[in-house]
Amino acid sequence: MSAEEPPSGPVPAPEYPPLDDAALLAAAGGSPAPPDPDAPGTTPGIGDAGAGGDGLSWEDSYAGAGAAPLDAGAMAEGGLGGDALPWTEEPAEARIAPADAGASEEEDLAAYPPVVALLVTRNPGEWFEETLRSLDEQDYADLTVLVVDCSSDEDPTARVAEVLPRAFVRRVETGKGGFATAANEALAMVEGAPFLFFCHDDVTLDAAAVRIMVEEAYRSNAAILGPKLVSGDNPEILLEVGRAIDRFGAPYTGIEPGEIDQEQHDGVRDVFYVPTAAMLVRTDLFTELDGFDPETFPGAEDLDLCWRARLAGARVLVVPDARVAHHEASASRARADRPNESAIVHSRVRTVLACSSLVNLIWLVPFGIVVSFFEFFGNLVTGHPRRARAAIVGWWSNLLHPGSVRKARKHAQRLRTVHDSDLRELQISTLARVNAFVAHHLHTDGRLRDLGDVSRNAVDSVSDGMRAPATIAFLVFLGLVLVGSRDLLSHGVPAIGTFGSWPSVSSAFDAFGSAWRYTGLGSASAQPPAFVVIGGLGTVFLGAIGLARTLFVVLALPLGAIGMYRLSRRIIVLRAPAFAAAIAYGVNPVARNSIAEGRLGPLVLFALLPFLVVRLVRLAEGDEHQGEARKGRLLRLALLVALLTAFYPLGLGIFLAVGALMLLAVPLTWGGRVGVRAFGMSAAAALLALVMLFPWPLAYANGSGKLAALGFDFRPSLTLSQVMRFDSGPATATWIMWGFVFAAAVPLFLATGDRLAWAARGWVLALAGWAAVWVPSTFFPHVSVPAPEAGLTVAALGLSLALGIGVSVLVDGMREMKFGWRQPAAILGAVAVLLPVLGFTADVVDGRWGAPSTAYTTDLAFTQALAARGQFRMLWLGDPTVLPLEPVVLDGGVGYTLTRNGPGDVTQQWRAPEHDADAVLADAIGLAEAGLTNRLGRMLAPMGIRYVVLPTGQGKDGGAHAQVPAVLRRAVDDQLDLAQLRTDSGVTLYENLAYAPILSVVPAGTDVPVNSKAPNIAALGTDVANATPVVGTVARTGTLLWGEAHDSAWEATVGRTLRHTAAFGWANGYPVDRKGAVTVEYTKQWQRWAFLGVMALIWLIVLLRWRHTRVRRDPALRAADRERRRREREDDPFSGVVDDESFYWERV
Amino acid sequence: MTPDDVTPEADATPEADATPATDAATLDTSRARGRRRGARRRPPRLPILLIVIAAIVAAAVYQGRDTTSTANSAGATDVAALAAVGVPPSAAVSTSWFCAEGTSNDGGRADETILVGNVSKSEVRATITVMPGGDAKPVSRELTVAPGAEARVKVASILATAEPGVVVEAVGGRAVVSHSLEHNGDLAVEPCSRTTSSSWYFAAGTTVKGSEHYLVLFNPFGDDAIADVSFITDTGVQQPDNVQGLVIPRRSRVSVAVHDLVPRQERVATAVHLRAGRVVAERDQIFDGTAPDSGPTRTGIAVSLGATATARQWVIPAGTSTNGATSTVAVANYSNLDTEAEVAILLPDGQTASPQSVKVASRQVVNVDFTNRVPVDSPYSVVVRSRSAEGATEPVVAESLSWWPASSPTTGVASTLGPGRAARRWVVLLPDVDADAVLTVTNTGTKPVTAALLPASQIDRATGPTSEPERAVAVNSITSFTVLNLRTSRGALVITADHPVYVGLTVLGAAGASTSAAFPDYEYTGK
Repeated sequence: MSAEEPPSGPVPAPEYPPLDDAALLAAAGGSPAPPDPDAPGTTPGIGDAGAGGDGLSWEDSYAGAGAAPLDAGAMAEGGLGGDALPWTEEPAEARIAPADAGASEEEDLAAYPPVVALLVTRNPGEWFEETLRSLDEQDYADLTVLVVDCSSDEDPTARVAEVLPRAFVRRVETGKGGFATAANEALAMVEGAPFLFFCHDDVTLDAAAVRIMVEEAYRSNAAILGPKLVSGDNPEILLEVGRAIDRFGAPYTGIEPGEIDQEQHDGVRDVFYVPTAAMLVRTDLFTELDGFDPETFPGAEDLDLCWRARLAGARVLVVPDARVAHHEASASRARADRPNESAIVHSRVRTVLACSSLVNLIWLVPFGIVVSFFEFFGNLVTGHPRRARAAIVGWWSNLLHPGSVRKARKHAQRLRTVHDSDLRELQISTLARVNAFVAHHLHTDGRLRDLGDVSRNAVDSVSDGMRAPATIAFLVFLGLVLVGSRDLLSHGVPAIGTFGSWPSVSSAFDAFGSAWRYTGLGSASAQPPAFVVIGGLGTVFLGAIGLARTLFVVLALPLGAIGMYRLSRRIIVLRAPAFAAAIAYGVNPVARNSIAEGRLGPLVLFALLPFLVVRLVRLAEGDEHQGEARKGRLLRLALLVALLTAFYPLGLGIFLAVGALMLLAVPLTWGGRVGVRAFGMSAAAALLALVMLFPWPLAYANGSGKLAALGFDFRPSLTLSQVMRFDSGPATATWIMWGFVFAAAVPLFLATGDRLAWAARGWVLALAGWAAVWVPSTFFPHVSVPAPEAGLTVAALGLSLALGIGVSVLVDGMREMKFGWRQPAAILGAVAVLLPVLGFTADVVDGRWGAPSTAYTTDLAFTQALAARGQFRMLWLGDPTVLPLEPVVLDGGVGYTLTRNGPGDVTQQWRAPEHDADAVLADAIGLAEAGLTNRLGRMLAPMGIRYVVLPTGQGKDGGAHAQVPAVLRRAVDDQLDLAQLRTDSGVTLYENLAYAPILSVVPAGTDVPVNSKAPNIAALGTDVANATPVVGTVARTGTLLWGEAHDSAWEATVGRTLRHTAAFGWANGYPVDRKGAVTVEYTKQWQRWAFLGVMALIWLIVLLRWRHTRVRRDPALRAADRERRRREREDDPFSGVVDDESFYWERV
Repeated sequence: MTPDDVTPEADATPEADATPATDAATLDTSRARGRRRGARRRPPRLPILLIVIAAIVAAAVYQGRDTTSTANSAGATDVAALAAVGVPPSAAVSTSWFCAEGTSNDGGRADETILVGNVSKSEVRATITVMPGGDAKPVSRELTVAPGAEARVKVASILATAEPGVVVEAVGGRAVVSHSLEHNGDLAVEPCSRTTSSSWYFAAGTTVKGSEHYLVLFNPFGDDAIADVSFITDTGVQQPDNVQGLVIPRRSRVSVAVHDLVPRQERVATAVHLRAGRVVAERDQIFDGTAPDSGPTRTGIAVSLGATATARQWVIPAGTSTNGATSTVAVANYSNLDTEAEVAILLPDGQTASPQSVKVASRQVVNVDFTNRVPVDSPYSVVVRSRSAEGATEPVVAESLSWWPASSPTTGVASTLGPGRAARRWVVLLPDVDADAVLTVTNTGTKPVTAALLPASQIDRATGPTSEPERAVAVNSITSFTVLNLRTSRGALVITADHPVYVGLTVLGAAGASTSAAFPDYEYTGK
C-alpha cells in the first residue's frame, strides 16, 4: 500500500434526520425490516433510532404492519403507472406485479421496505442481460426495476422483457444531462419507495447486495450507500470501496491497480462518496436534494450528490458486504457514448466550486489554477494531450461562467449544516495531489497497473536476489561502473571519435528537418534519424543535452550487461549462470574500448545487441505467440533494429549477420527450424527497420557505393591474440582475458542437449566476430573495415553466452555433491572468470575508462568564434582511429573528416553517401600525399577549408593514439599555403592562407572557373584568397561563391535571382554585378517536408500497430504470480541460501 | 537494482518472469528429454569441437607465419626523402622548386639565374616568385616553357633584392629547375630543391683567409621556422649562439655568414636542424683570391644544395682533372661513433684507382685529396662508402670540393653532393655560358650499362639517332658525354641507360667551373 488511505476513524455525526418509522411508514406504508441478529453492532445512529423513542424498533416498525409497500403491484394498478407514469413503452409483463406472485410470500414481502432500482442504460452492450439477471436474482423481495433508457439507438425493451419481464422501461431524451437527467426521472415517477437504487447497465450484483445495503442503511442511519465494486472480468480484482477526494475534487479510491480482494477492505465505513455504478439513496434525501445536478454530468454527478448530502448532514457509507461486479464498459462503448475528458474535469471543478465554502474557495481557486497548469504539462509530457487540454479547460470554463456556478452554489449551500472542516477527514491531503494526479491519469488506462506490477516485480526480484551472491556480484559490477565512470559523469564525455558533441535540442531538430545536409561538402541526401532521438533525449532532459549524451554513453555498459542477462535467462534460465554471462559481457574490454576511443556505433551495438538477440530468439523459438502478438514482437524487434541502425548504420548488417549465423550454425546445433526462422525474422525485422527509417535508407540506395558512410573507416592491425583477448584499445586486456575464452570452452566439452547447442551457437558468434576483425587485419590490411569493436561485440556476446552455459554446467557438478573433477574444474573456471574481472576493476581507477580528459576538438573550439567573420571548414587528416566524427578513408589508408565552423558536432557525424564534390577533396588530398602538388591550400580554398588538423591522438591522457603517416606529414609540411599555427604532442594545426569563406565574393578581377572537368587544377590556378566573406550583403561585384556541393536547387538572389554556375566544377557560383542584400536558399526544402510527412505516416502506422499488437498481461495473472512467488519465498527453505539454483534443483 | 528490475517491454515479461522451475524443465536436460522424445537429434559434440579448435589453430598457425612488417612503407619513405631534386612524376599537377642561394641586387655576392627545363610533351606554365623577405611583397613572373625547351631568367629581372628566395611553380607538366650563380668570373650551377626539410647537412667548406662561407636558409612557407645550426670544424663542434634558435621568417631567407661565426677554420661541415618549420639550405663558398695562412689560394664561387640525411654511400658523379684541377672530398661524421670511410675513384674505360680508407672520428670532418690518383684530363666520379672493420658503419655526408688555380685556363671552384639514388634516366640543364660541359655517367651496379644522350624534346624516344653515340659503361666505371660551347646549346638534355646509373654535370670553361648532379627521373623504368 503506497497510497494514502481514506480515514477510517470516527467521522462527524450526521445531522441529517434519521430514518424514523413515521417517515418510513409515511413513505412506505410498512415497517423496517428487523435487524439481522448476526449483523455487526449497531451504529450510534441505529442506537439513537432504537432508543430514542422517536423511531421505532425494527420489530415495531415492521411487525404486523401488513401494509403492502409501494410495489409493482401498485404500479400494476396504476399507482406508479397510469397518469403519474406515462410510460412511453409498454413494459413486458408490466402489469404482472410481484405482489401477485402469491399470497404465501406476502408476509416476507411485508418485512422489507420497497426499493425501486433505476437501471440507467444507453446502447447497452452484451453485458446488459447479465445486469438484468442479477437484478432479477436479488433476494430482496420488494424490488422493482425501472429501466431508464437514454435514447439508445435500439429500443432495449425486448432485451429487458426477455430477462426481466416484470421490469418497467422508460425511454427518455436526456440531452447533455445523461445519467443525471435519466436518474432524476425517479423524482417524478417514483412515489412511496423509501429507497432508490441507481445502477449502471454494466454491473452484476450479488444476490444479496440490495438487501445488505438496505439493512445497513437502517443500521447506520445512512442516506447514501455504495457496495464494494469488483472487476467484472475478474471478480478477484478489487475496484472500489468508496471514494475520497482531494481538495480539488480529484477522486481517490485507495485501491492499488490489480489489487486482489482479500476482504482487506471489508468494513462498513464512511466515505466521501460512492459512484453511481451502484448507489442506494434514501428517496427523501434524493428529493430534498433535487436529485442529481445534470450540469455535473459526466464525471461528477455522484460526487456532487454525495457532497451535497454530506453538507446536509447525511452519511455516505460503503457497505463492502454488498458486492457488485463492474465491467467498466465505457471503453467498449461507441466513441460518442464515452465521456469527454474536458467535460469530466469541468464537472469536477464545478462541484468543487459549488460545494466548497466561500472561505475555502479563496485559496482553492488560485491553487487549483496553478495545479491545473502542472497537470497540463504533466499530461503533455506523458503524451495525453486531451487530458492536458481538459486540465486547463476544466477550470476556465467554470470561471468564465460565474452565473452557472453561482446558481449551483446557491443550490448546494442552502442545505448546509456541516462545516467543511468536518469533511476534511474524508479527503486526502493537498500534498497527495501528485498521487492523485498519477492515479487519475495513469490509472484510467491501466498504466498504473503496469507500473505497479513492474515495481512490485522489481521489488520482489530485488528482494529475491539480494540474498544471492550472484546478485551481490552484479550490484558490485554496477557500483564499479558508476565509480569507473565518475569522471565522465562529472565532466562529461569528451568529444572524441563518434562521440561528437550534441548540439541544442532545436539544432538537432533543425538539422533533421533540413533538406540539405551540412556534412562533408554538403549533400541533398536525407538526414539521419538519430537527430530525432538526440533531440528527443534532449527534450526529455529538459534541454540538458550534455547530460543526456553522457548518460547515453555511460549507461550503455550496464545496459548491455542487463540485456545479456535477459538473453541468458532466456537461454540458460538459471539466474546465477545468467548473472555470470551478464558480468562476463559487461566487463568485456570491448565496451570500455568503445568508450575510451569514442566508438558510438559499436557502443550502441554493445548495448542493444543482447536485446536484439533475445527478441530474435523468442521469435525463432516461440510458437506460443501467433498472429497479432507475433507481429507485435516482430514490430518491436524492428524498432530496436531501427534504433541501432539510426546510430550505427552498419548495425543493421551486423544484426542480419547474427541471424545468418544462427542459420549457419544449424549443422552443428540441429534445430534447423529455429535457424531458418531466426534468419527469416532478422531479415523481416531489418526490412521493417529500413521502412521505419525512411527516407534515410534512400540516401544510401542512391549513393555511389562508398562504404565510408556506413562505418567502414578502419584498418586495424591486430594479431590473433589481440583479437581473441579483445585487446583493441587501452582497456586492460592482457593474458588474463584468456580466462574468458577457456571458461567459455567448457560447455563444448561438458554440456549436453540444448545447452550444447546454445554453446555451439555462442561459439559460432564468437568465431565469426573474431574473424570479422582478424581476417581483414591479416589478409586485407589495405581494405577499410568497420571498427574492430563491432565484430568484437558479436564475439563478446557469443563468448559470454557460452561462458554462462559453462557456469550452469559447473553448477550441475557442484550440486552432485560428489567429489570429482567437476569441483576443481569449477574452481579453475571461477578463477578464469575472475581474472578478467580484475582487469575491469583495474580500469575503474582513472574514472573515465581510458578516455581522454580533454578532447582536442575541445582544445580547438576557439575556432568557432571565427565563424562570425566568415564560415569555414576544418579538414582533419590522419589515421582514421584518431579522427573525430566519421572519417573517410582514402586508398592509402589516410582518413579525413570535414567539420564546419569549428571542430564540429554530431550533426556532421553521419556522413552522407559520397558526392562528386567529395571526390574532389579526396583527389586533392591524394595529390598532396603523393607529393604531386605543393598547393593543397589552393585546392582546398574554394571549399572554405581554413584549417587543416593533423592529430596523433584524440585528446590528453587517453583515447586512441596513432602517428600521422610520415608521407602525409611530409606532404602537408611541403604545402606552400598551409601555415603551421600550433603543434603539441597530440595535434598539429595549419591555417590555409589561400582559403576563401564558404559564402564569399571573389572580386571581379579573378576569374572563377566554371564547369571545370579538373576541379583541382582549376583551383590550383585560381587565387581566391582575396575573396571577402558575405554576411547578409554583397559589398562588391564579382562572383558569389557558395562552397557547398553544386546542386541546381541552390538559389541566390541579390535584388533578383542570380545566374547559377558550377564554380570550379563542383561548387556553386553566381556572377554578381550589383551590391545589396543577398539570400542563398535551397529551394527543394518542400521535398524534405514531403518526406517527413511520409515518415510521420509510417510512424503513425507503426504506433497504431504497436497499440494493436500490444500484449498486456492480465493484472490478475500478474498479481497471482506475485503472490505465488511470495509464498514460494516464504515456503522455500533454500531461499536466501543459494538463490534459485536451490529452487531449481529441488524441483528438477 | 538487479537486471530483473528492468523489463522494458510488457510482452517480454512472461518469459522473463517464468519461474526457473518451469523453464528449467524445458531446458533440462537433453538426457531426459532424449529419452522422452527419442527421435530428437542431439547436437553433435565432436564436429563442434573440431570446427572451433580447427579454426583457432589454423588462425594461430597462420599468424605465426605472418612476419610481414611495415618495412616496405619505411623504404618508400626513404625514397621520398631522397627525391629532393628528382624530376617530378608525370602525375604531378603542380611542382614547386626552391632556390635558396643567389642575389639579384647590384654588387650581390652571387648573381642568380633561374633555369627551367620542360621535359614533358606539353607546355609548362611556370611562375617564378621572388620572395624578398620582411614586409615586402613577393613578386612573380609567369613564363611558358615549350616541350623539351629550357628557359633562363635572371632573378634581377624580376626583383632586385639582396636576399631573394625564389620559388618556381610549374603547372601542367614535368619541369626541372636549377639555378646558376656567377661571382667574380666564376660560375656555380646547382639544382634547386623540390622539397623542404627539417634537417640539412654539408660536409665541405672552409673559412680560411680569403674565403666567404654562407649558409643560406630559405623558408618559403607561411609560418616562421626556427633552426639550430652547428658546425664541425678543425677545433671540434661549434654551436654559435647566434645561430641557435635562429628564426627564418615566413616567405624569406636568411644568409648566415659562417666565416664570421667560425672564422679561420680549414674544415667546416655544417648541420642544420629545425625546431619548427622546414627550410631549404644551400651553402655558398666564395674565394676572393687572397692567399690564406696556409693552403692553396683560390678564386671563384661554389654552391651546394645540402643533403637532408646522412647515408652510408655517396656517389658524386661529377669531376674532372682537366686544367690542373685539385680534387678533394670532405667526409663528415655527424654520429656519435667513429667510422671509416672508403673513398673510391671511378674512371672511364675500366681504369682503376685503388680505394683509400680514412678514419672519420665521431663529429669530425676529414678532407681527402685524391688529385694524384686521377689521370690527367680525365673525368672521374667519387664513391664514398662508410664501413668499418669493427662493425661500426655510421652514416656520413660526403661532398666534393675542387678548384682550379689562377694559372689554369679555367679559374674557379666547384662543389657538390651526390644525388641520393641511381636512376635510369637523368635530365641535365645547361647554363648559357662560355664553357663546355661534361656529362659523367657512373655505373656502380653489378651489370654493364649502355647509356645514350638525347635532347629533352625526344625524351620518350626509345630508338633512333642520338646526339652522341651510345656508350657502354662497365661495372664500377664511368663514361662521359661532352657538350661543347654551351652558348650554342638549346634545351635540356636527357641521358638514358638500361640500368640505374648516376649522372653528373661538370661545367668548365672561360666562364668558370662548376660541378653538380643531374636530375634523376625515378619514374622512368625503361619500359
